[in-house]
Amino acid sequence: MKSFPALALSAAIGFASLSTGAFAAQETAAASVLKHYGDIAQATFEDSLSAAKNLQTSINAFLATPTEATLAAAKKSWIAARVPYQQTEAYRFGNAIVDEWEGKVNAWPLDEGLIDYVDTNYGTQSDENPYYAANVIANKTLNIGGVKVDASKITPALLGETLQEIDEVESNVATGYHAIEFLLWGQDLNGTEKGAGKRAATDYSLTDCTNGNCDRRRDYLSAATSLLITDLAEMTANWQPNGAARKELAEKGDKGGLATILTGMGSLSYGELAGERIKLGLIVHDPEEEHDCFSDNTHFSHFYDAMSIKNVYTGEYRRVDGTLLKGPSLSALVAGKSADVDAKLNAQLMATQGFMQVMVDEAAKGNTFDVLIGSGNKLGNAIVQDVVDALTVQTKGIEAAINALELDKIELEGSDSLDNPASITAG
Amino acid sequence: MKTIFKMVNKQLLIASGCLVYLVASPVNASQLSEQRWQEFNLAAVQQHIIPNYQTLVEQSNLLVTSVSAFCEDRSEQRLNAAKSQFKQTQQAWQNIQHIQFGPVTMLMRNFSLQYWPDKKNLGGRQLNALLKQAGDAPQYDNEFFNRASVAVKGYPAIERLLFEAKLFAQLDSNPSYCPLLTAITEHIASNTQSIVTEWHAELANYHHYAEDALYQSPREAATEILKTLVEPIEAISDGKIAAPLGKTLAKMRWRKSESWRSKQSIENIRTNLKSLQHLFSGVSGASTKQLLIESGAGELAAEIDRQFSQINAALQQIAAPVAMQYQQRQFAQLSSVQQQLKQLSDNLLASMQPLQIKLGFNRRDGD
Repeated sequence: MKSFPALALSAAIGFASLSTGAFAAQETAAASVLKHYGDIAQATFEDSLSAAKNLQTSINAFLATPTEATLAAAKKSWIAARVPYQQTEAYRFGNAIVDEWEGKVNAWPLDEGLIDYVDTNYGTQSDENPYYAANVIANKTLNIGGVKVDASKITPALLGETLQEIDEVESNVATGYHAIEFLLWGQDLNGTEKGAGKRAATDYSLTDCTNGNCDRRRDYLSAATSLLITDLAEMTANWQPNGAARKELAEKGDKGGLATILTGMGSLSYGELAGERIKLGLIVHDPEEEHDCFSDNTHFSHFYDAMSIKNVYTGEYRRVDGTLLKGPSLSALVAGKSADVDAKLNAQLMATQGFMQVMVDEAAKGNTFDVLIGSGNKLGNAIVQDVVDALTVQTKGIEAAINALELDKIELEGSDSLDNPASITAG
Repeated sequence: MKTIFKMVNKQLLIASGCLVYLVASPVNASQLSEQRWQEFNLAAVQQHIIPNYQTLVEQSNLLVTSVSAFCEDRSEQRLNAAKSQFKQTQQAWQNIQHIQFGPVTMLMRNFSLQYWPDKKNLGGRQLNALLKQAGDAPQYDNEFFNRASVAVKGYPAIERLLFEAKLFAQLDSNPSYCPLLTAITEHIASNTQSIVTEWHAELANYHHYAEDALYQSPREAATEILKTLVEPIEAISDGKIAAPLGKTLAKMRWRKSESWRSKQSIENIRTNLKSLQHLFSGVSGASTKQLLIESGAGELAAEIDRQFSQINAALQQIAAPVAMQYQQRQFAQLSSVQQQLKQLSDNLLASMQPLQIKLGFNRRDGD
């Protein structure tokens, strides 16, 4: 409905009771979509929290008996914990309460030399980051640029309040999934060849310690894991009925709420996923630009991000326990305005899942994301490019949905993502 | 920097100080004709885009010549000439950096010409790795550049090779140094030439609008051009100023600025803003400013133009930092420019409404 014709307006005045009913029906539809959107967030964060608790159990077992078998079990739990968490990512952009919190749990990329020992090829300094190779695990006191940090006790507070983004450098990531990932896998020294990080279980042994400071490394892993759970618990609480995230959403009204859903979908699809997390790695052919660069689990991170976008549109979320959460969808609301726009967007979201699946299948053969983006790997590069293209196309579909719902006066403000002057529509 | 969700609502407009302009504009301003948008497109392409790319080609060719001349005798004099030419070539790029559609996006030329910011120091690491392979007598041919990372084939790579003392120390000891340096300049020159050649062919897209064509209508083509006017303002404010400047003087990290090695960070911003103002109001016939006036938003148009001029004047007064550090007064000056850019960005975004243009998602949305 682009304009409100005079005739329709007078009709609305003439048949007040009828039109009020029609308006009310539409409002209810939007409200129920928004409520269900909140319910999916609640379920997905609850699943993320419980998967993180499983991870903590595995890590505790590993620290009790550090063997290759218990390390492998901990890694398996980490990968499982990523499945629900990545499906929360469509909630990040648009919901300020999520976006402001997100850095604590999923910040990336990180200068891992802040945390622990690194290979000599990593280097000792960076233009941007004085803490590039600070190595907190090996150093009880940091003295950098005239600032002294007491790191004698490795605690969640030290990681979360002092080290995280220390000196206002974003790549100083001391907490969250990727810090834990580094602590479990270690650096991936295979470049764009097959293989992930190969940290030895003995890095955590109190009797046969490798690479030194195993006691402090153990403290770090424990502290980072317990902090992850604290942070996830906070966000899970925010999405309970009447939680802060639900209130923030409700305050935007129906249109504002619907725009929030689409903002999250579009920003994750385009600037974040297609651009920063995928295209960037492809153009620099460098495994440093891999989202899960230690574990080589990047394909699944991207796959579940795409699923997250689809979840919030179709109103369906498959929980970790297998049950399907299904309810009033944005898709149906868009279809009510334009069946064509809705059909197209659904097809685009499906197509993206298909291209993501190709990437997942390649990974199963050992051709993980870092291999696919390698210089000269034409086939691999093309597979990744297909994903970028599909995400870019679906962004157009999301814009069409915004227009169909007449939310186009809602405007989005970005951040320093892919950065000027790069454009992800390249080549 | 966090993503902020905002609605163009009354509150925001009051906050950004432009409510008055929208209220002043007629509610039902007549929609600009497709013919008018067509004139807008041709004005931008023919008076702004193609001439600026043409200058970039000329300046990039001059860089090939001066770098080759330096590599012949490696004299101090020719080094200085090459450095000075690099700065001019870089400004020619800054003049047209905002264009992010058309031939510059083909084959990732935009990234190839300038990969920045380089948060993971890829350019440094990858150049070092290439120079280490000198013993294998590598060929820097097309095949090499097809495979090479974008971080080693553009202006920032040349800047590192010419201005970074640690790297430059390898000039005489590393047999690959000059061959790599000259090959990158030649690659850049050929890339920029392709852009101009293709833009002449690209003009056909501005004479054929259809369902299956690149653009369905002149208005759609114009949206692409307007994106390159509006989006860079905030990118400059955030990426080129706020990030390196930091929240306080003590947090200033000038190494996060663009082109700090050649001390061109501020000059780049001056060039960007001058060029963006040209795109806004400097092209004749059907500039953005002119179309805003025709859409009944004359006051907003004038205000935006005034802000551009004010920012350009303020930038003239700001010197590059000495030894990568500002004093409080200069810090405050540049912070103030950053605030003005934010306001300019808000006004430009608001100006899309009277023009009835929807910019859609921004590649900078996300984190």
